[in-house]
Amino acid sequence: MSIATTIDAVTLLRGKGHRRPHVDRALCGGLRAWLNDEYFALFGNDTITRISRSPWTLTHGQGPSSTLSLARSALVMALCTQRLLGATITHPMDDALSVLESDVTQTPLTYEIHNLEPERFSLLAAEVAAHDEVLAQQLRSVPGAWLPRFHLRTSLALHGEQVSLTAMTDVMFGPPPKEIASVALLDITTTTHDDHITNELRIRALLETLRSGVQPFAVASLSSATGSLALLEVQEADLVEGVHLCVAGIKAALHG
Amino acid sequence: MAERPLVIAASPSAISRVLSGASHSVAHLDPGLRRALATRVAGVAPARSLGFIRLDGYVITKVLNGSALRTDGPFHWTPRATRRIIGGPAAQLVLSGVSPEPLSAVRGEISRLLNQAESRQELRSGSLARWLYEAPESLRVAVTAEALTYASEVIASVDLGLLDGTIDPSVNDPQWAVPGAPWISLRGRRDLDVVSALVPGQRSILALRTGTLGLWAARDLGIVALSAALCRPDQPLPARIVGLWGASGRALVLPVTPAIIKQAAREVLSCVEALNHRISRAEAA
Repeated sequence: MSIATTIDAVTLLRGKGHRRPHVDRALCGGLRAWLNDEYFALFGNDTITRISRSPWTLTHGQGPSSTLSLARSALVMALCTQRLLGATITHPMDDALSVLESDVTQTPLTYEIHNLEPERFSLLAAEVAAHDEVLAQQLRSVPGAWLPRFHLRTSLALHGEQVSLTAMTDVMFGPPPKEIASVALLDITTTTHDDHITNELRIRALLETLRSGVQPFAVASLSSATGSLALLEVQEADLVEGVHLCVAGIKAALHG
Repeated sequence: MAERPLVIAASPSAISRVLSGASHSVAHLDPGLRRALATRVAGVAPARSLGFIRLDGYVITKVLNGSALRTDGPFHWTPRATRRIIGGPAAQLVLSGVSPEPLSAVRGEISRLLNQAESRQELRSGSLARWLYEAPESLRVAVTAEALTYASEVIASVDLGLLDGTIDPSVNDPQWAVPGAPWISLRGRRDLDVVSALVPGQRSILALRTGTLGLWAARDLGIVALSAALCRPDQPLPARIVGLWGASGRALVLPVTPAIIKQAAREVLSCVEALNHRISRAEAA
């Protein structure tokens, strides 16, 4: 995996066509069966417990999120979409907030934002503007032919629905693959990348493989805090490691 | 032997093959069932003064499961609410080869609506065109993102090279207003119609769904089949409805038979009865 501080994350993510792997149609079924076997061994006679995990919680554990960090993340994601579609942003906080306000599912969050004390609101606005500056440097508008898709959910039920692996993909590019892997995923994070980033990307790659039946050729995470892009060109070994991580994460949740 | 409902992986090739296949037996909607459903629904319908009732698979499942229906207050436009309205025509333009890619098609649709609002200032205030016209630029971009995502999902769900049939360019969901109680309508939310190359008039329907393939998926698809049949009584029943739950990578293939249609009609009637009962109880309280 590479970590780069570079200009134009999307072009870097797209990479060179000749490096993309051939599609292995049997791989997904094998990985799913392997995971189910491992979970069967882990759960044993327990048919009651249900566990839900995401790439983040599998690698970092469950942790509380503050309103400010949730707000920052939602606002920055709104700006990311604007940047990728070539919008001109003059007032980052206002533009992002108007998008958030139009989303009924974000009503509690926008309520919280509007109720922030003036100093904290100004601080948040300044932070959002700083993140947007990074996005402006890193993101170019995406050609429509790449079929960009935003905010896609993955929700996989395994082991008789006792294990639920979920993920939110911020941006997906590429048409459905035929012979060569053709889909890439991009996650935007407002935090800095830590030691877990490679594993998080491996799990994301695995979940997309299980969802679509075909592995993505690349998975990346762009930090809007630093501008660094963590890029994983997905190999079979990454998916295998992803299975180990998903098993270990559920084992930890089950047995503490 | 009759086909049975089948869960398959949601790959474009598998979806295209299933959509392309004609039914082994061609059936038509029983006109008696259509008449009986209209009469019985009108007989148990809540009063017109209580407003319009729009039934679809989601509402019917909620009501029959005894769940409360969401009351979000009066409708207002959001980027999410526009995704199928703008993304649907854009996807059709790409699939029919008129537009090379979905982003330009979506932008074209938005421009068309903006022009409509600009040239006809008298457009009613709640219309999508007027809302877009008055929206800030950032909101229009958010609308573009939603519609583009939807259009790209529709386009990516099928492999045109494997699709043996033609895509019906009409983009509206089939909607049947109950004769005798036209304030009640049944809508089948679907995203793509493929007209068979083998059986004239026969079609298969693709319905994109969010979330995971759950217990009530077949009921939801049955309602899509019924509404399509009621709206085109002169045409053969759809061969099959393919529900695609993209988040879980699974699709449910529901072959449409007269028994499926009858079952869906019973559920519509039960739903209207249950709604009437709820309203009566609420009024009594």
